[in-house]
Amino acid sequence: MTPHYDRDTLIDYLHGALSDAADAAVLAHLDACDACRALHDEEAAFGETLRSVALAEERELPPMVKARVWDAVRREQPSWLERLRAWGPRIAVPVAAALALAAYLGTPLRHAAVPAGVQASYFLDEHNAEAQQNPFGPGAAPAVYATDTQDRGNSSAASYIDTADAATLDDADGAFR
Amino acid sequence: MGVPRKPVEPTVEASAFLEQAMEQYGKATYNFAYRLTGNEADARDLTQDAFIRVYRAWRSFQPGTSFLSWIYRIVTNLYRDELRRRKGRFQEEIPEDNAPQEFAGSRPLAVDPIEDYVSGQLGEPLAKALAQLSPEQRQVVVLADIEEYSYQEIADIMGCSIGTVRSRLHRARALLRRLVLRAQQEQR
Repeated sequence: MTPHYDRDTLIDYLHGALSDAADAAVLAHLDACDACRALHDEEAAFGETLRSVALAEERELPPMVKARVWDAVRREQPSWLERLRAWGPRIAVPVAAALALAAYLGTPLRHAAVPAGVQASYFLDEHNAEAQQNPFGPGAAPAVYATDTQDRGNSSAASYIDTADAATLDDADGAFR
Repeated sequence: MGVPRKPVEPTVEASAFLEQAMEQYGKATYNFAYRLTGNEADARDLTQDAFIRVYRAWRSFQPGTSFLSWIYRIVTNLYRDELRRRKGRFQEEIPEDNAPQEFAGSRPLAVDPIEDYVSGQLGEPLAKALAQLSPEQRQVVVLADIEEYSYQEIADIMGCSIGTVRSRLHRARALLRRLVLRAQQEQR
């Protein structure tokens, strides 16, 4: 004969916490055993009483709780991430426009960072213009950029500036390499 | 003492989430808190703190999962923290699982004479017995027998193993039976 089940097993059974096999075994046993059935019914009634006592004491959420929650929430400073999320849709377009403008303005600013090049090209163009007006004058040979492939390959900006500066300073024969 | 922060409007999404949560689950959460604490004052504080946590952490809630399980877990953790805090303040011992709390018939946390009077008028030996369980035992009885959660769900809410849930429930129910029996004998 199957041994009787203890209260703890029957509590687990009532809470559906047994394995399928154990659950089926208890169910079959309860059909045949009055003692275990009585114990089972006692525990089931105990649970029902607990629930009915709890329901009898059920109460509504006091409105003051909600009010206090909202008050506390309004006093809280949201995190920077929350603030960014909240403002995201409204500031996305202006921020994107500002970034695009900064990128646009940033490019010529980088070029402007080499004023020597601009200055040198100015003198170079002036020299060539004078040479064209007076092709037989001193320094008539047109100024040219350095033609050394290696120089050009290394750094065009650097060679350009150095050469141009040399053109403005060295007017002994008007030509340079 | 810090400078008070300037009140700001809560974010729209978080506010909507909080509003819906309080509307749908406020009563259940408050009753759960009341069953854990055994008195209205502590239940109000616990419910309030729980919903403030909900507001702060609403993005961590997984849609499709049980909101009640989530907020019950929040309430359980807050209640545990509060008990520890009070233990530190009053140097009281939190009873072990096996030991019933001896409060000489009073409530386990805040003492409310009106509540005691109402409770006495109801004359429910089971309600009084429930109040004498340890916090952990009361939690597991409330979740298993009143809220009817599975052992696995209770383990998730309480942050413990299924075995712990099982043993706590067995001990709690055995203790409740003894306390109810004693109360009934005293009434005769």
